[in-house]
Amino acid sequence: MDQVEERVPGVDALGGRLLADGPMVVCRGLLDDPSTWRFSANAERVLGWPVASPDGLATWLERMHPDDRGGFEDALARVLSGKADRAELHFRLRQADGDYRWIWTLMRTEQDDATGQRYMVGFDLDVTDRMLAEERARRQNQELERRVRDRATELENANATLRAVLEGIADPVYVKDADGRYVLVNSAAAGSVGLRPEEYVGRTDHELFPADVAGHLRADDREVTASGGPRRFRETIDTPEGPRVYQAVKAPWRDAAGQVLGVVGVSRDVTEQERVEAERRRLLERLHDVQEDERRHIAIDLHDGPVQGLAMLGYKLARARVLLEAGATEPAVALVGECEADVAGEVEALRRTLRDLRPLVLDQHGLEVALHDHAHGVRERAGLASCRVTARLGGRRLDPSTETALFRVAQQALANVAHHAGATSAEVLLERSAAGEVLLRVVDDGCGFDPSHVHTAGQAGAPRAAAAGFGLTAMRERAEAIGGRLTIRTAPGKGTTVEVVVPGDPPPPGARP
Amino acid sequence: MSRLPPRPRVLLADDHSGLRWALRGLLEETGFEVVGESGDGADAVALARLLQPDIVVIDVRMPVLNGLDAAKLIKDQRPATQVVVLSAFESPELERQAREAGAFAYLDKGTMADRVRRVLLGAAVQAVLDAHPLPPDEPGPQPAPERRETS
Repeated sequence: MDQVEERVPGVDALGGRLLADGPMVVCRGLLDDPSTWRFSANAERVLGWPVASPDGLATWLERMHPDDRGGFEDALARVLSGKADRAELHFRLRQADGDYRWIWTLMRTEQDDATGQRYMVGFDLDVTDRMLAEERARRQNQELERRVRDRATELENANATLRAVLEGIADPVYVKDADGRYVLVNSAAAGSVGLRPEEYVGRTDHELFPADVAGHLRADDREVTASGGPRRFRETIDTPEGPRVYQAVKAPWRDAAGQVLGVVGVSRDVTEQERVEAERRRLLERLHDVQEDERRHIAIDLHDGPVQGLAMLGYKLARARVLLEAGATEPAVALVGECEADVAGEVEALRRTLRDLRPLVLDQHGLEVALHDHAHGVRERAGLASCRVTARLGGRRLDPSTETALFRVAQQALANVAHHAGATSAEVLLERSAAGEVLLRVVDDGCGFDPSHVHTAGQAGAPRAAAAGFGLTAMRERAEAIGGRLTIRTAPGKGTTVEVVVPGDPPPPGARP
Repeated sequence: MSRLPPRPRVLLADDHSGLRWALRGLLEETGFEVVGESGDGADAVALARLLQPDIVVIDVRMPVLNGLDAAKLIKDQRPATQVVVLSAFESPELERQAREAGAFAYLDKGTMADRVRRVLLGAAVQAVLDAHPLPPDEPGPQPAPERRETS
């Protein structure tokens, strides 16, 4: 290349001056002769080095950033060879201080119509600032995108965690907006009305529940948002499986600024819990009734027996004293002898009361002995021809609560035999099956009864025996309390069989069934 | 006591026959005449009308008709008959009801035999006084002190 000229051929003087002061370097020369290529006067200022030496093109290429050199050479070759009539590209050009500057270049060919000569025209512009700005913008963009990506991942993770927490809670959890529209629910909430969470979200209580239920739920929500704090509610909701009772804790749903957006809530299904609690209360009440009933019987026994008996003894002894004071020894001695017999009778009556209260023989010698003793007493008192006990536990003791329960059932069954059955004989069987079940059976040959006519609970005006259900309820409860099953087989004139089967632990190896 | 002629006539009403028998023995040994025994309240009322005893000793808890209702009927048909309620219950309320029914005294069955006897003597005196009221210008004797003992 030649010296830089003030003027690029073909460019007028004004244009030349504009070029010299402007940022754009222009180069022109014959296409097929790079030695004719001339640069505008601003070339050194703009490009940072004098375009002077004949081997300028080589120097130019040498100064180019190695990564950009190939692209430039290709573009130049395509234009010079006529394969392309223009090429535009960016490259980096090393400066004297070693820094690179970004140059934009446009090469194109021109034809002088008059001479037919073909020219090469080049335009160069220092675009370092723009490129840097673009690079900065690009980097910023990338950073922004990265952040957005990170944030999105973060949100996804947070969402997954929230979902996991929600799904990990077995109780229905839900979020409603200010209009009462469900925004978020877990499977437990949706499942409670037979829906999937995605079917639940977007609906309101009025779309999901009957009007009165929805009205209550919304009233609770309004109370929460009005109060600004968590509240507890008892809510009843109809489900495909019937009404369920929920213990709900609801709190306002707020955004980061504290603005109330709606309501969040957790509703625990307490239907079963309440049922169990009611059952527990009923049983407790029943237990108290039974206890009072037993106490009443004991009180009556003591009142009718020992109290009267002792008063009687007092009168006899007083009379004996009067007789002795009068010197009538013989009748006095007879009277005192009578008192001895009375005392023995009273002791026996007291013993009977105590035995009914708690047969100590049951604790100390077990169910078999207690049953034998009790049956013996019943036979004597009720005047039965026989009251046989067949016990086949091999002397082995049962669990104390099982022994007590079975004894009470037998006691009640035999009391019925004695007082209601009009039986001549009764039989008690106690045995253990191969499976370890314990069986107690009390059979009598009495009048029997129609089970459908026996009330299991007291009824006003019913005869006493019927009102107490012959103690059938108490017997059944005794049996069930130890996991057993009570069955009664009877019919008018056919006698009665009371049977309890209690699941037990298997007998020890080698034990006879 | 044995100077009181004739022997006070007593009707015993209690469903505990052993106790009735013992009380009868004691009373007969100590100057009373037991003119009748009854095991239920209604029977006691009927016997009282028939026998017109000075004293009816009656239990509270009895079949058919309880002692308190029986006491009221006995007093209605013959006010001079004195009813002594003998109860297994030591109960101020039952005692109040017994007095309301017109009973002379309310004794629980834990009461010592001597005291029972003394109360019955007081009742006998009262029965005689009620059966033969004095003319109004003559001051009558004070009510029997035994009456207060029971409260």
